[in-house]
Amino acid sequence: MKKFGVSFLVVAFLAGFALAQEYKVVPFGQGEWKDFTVGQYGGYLVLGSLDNPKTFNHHIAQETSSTDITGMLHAGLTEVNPITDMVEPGLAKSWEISADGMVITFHLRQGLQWSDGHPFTADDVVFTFNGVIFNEDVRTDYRDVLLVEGKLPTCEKVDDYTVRFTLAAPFRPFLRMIGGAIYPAHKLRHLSRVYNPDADPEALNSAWSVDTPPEEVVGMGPFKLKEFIPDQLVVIERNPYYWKVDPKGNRLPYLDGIKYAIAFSLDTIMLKFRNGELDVYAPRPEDIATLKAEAAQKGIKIVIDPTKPLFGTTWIAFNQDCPDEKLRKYFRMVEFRRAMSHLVDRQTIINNVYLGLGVPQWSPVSMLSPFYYPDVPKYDYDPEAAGKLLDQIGLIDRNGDGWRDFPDGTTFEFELNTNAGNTIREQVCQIFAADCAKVGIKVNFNPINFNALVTKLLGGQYEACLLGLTGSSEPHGGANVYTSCGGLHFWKYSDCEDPTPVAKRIDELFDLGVKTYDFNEAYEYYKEYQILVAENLFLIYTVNMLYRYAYYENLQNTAGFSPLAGALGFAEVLWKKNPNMVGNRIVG
Amino acid sequence: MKKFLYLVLLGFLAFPALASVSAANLERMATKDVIPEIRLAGGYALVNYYAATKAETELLGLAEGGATEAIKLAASLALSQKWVGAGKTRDELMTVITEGKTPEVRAAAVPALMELLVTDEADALLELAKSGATEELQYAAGKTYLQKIRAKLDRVQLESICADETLSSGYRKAAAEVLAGYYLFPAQQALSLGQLEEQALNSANPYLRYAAAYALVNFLVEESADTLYKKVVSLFLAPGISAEYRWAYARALGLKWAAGL
Repeated sequence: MKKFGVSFLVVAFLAGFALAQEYKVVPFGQGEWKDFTVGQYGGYLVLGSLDNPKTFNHHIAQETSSTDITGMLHAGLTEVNPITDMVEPGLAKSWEISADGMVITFHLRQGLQWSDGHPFTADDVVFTFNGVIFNEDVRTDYRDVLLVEGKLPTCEKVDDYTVRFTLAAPFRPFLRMIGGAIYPAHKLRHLSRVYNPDADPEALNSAWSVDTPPEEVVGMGPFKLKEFIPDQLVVIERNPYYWKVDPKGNRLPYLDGIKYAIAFSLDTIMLKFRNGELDVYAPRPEDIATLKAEAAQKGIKIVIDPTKPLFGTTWIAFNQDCPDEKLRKYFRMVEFRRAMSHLVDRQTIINNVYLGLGVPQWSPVSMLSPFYYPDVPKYDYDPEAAGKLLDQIGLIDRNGDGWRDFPDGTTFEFELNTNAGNTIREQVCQIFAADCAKVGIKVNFNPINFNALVTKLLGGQYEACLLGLTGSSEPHGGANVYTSCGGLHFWKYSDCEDPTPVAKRIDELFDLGVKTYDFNEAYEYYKEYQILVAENLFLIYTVNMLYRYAYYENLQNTAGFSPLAGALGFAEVLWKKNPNMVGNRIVG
Repeated sequence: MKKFLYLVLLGFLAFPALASVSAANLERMATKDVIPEIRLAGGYALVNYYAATKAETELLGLAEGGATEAIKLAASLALSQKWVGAGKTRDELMTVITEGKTPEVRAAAVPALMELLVTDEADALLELAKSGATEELQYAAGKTYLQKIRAKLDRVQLESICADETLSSGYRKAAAEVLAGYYLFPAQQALSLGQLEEQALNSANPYLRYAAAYALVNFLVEESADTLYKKVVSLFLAPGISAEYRWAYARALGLKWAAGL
């Protein structure tokens, strides 16, 4: 009876296990994956890295030399589609959001295993959040992005495959933010003081250091750690238990692994790429000519995608609270700002400064964001239109010296700052100032130290400046810039005390956009926000650098490489036509 | 009449090679074809096959004493693949590049040596590019130097290096290859296919012809192997075609054959 019982349990366990493996199928050939194909197994992807990893602990890591590796070892409840940038199910197969938007219940995939074969359950999720992320002992920035109205959500286990988060307020980006790495409770729980009061408070911070035996670093990502040779190489290899499959049921990833060749200079990395020691490389504009020359002979593909600019924006701001009262009056006129936009020769800037690797930017939302609205009003280069607008607001040359004057006869002129040493920005300023001069606007270009510029900007002590902001696909990231009391609302801090109707409406739109989980509804709010910003030109956007990538043609399923995810975002679907090649060299 | 017979003969000789690309066919062409550029194309096409199937010592032997220049070239390029990232010291590579018995052996050390030279100061590299002991060393130092200063380079500077007869041949060759990139990028200033062909055919300066030919390969690989083959044959029969222009077609043909191997 005992023997029978044991056998029955094993059979039941195995059968149940096999039936319950809820893998995620990546639908190559369909939808956004239409340009991807079922691949073949084998080969290593070889990449360059500028430094050694400092840790294999993803939640502690802060530098890309670590996170480029640890990001491959782990997975989260949700994940971002590397092509569409939309949030999709990850380790959670689905979720429900309560009517008030405050309670999110995740249903986990069943039958999954960690890279060491241990079963994955809700206990791991609850441990990750309660024992690691929300644990004040752990020095992780991840905690900050989960704060809603200053409070962390609560996380509780409903059953073995269900977890529930309760928020302090509805927060649409939560689904994106909750996709952080889930850690294995069976490996790390004893290090958390939440579960083990006797644990060292530093234990989780020092866990999975670079000296840790590779087999101890366990994750749910497509790869697992294999080897680290300081100053030379990090090797990660295929996770045999990974939970994604291709349409034919082949378990991903196709690659045997990834090797990160450590070199300490970009020149060396570029040379290694040219020599066929690396498979992919992100060239700088000055690298392109060299690579173009060799492309055919070496089998290098160079991708410069005009539809994919980098995240972030470059703009010219006019300080509408500027200390000079006369300037302030004009800077507050939308006609003046539109005239200035008409004097930004974006195409010349693209051709002469960015070597063709740029696109005009018109919206505060990145072109790669799913919330980007392309049809905002555009005030493109048109000196004649600029001149008419300036005439219309009374800025005319009153004394015949070639410069437009204030009504009191003094020359209308302003100082334009940018950060000294940024040669691209300096050249853009020079082109803009020259075009302004053509219509009689006197611009005194003065590049200054970056820290001094930021002090002037945040202190409201500048007249005009050209600078940049980082960006992401999430428009709410712009709240600190565009809401009337935002810390980076540097073109008109007075909006906080005395908001204009437009500023009030933008505040409302940000509030509405973050409190709905309905993408289409949120899109409409952010669309209106983009139109308002483009019409009013609070910031005059200039040009955004294009995405560039180079790889050897032996590498397959590269169609989606983009600034959203780079090459690593596709590591689990990449495959090699000849698995024995690295770059253009036969290595095996 | 004699020329007609020759064409018929060429067509006959070529047919087996065009029918199927195999290592044996390529080796036969690289060794025995009467047209030097067909031999060269065969050599280029054999590089990966040699790298995958031949040991370092065998490749070294072929780079030294291969039956034709094309076989030596194939062995040299395959050897250079093996030496990249193989842990050879700077001294070892410097010995090869300065004392190697043939240009092909010396050239095999170039890529691996460049990875060691890249940390040198630009001035030292320039000096080596100008006065290195062999053309291969000048070339390796020159390419490394030009990569190092690429953000400050422009087409005019590179053309002046190519044109300067007081500079070393290796450095001028390196400059020509880098210059090829400036003929292709940025797009607004790129030369057209026609301009590249004109320069590769008719420039008075061999390095400027080579730069244009090097860039031209990037266009020619869009053609079929059959078209390229016929063009190589026709160029052989036409008088006064520059060596650089013929090389471009041979290089492209070699790439197409390699892809079909």
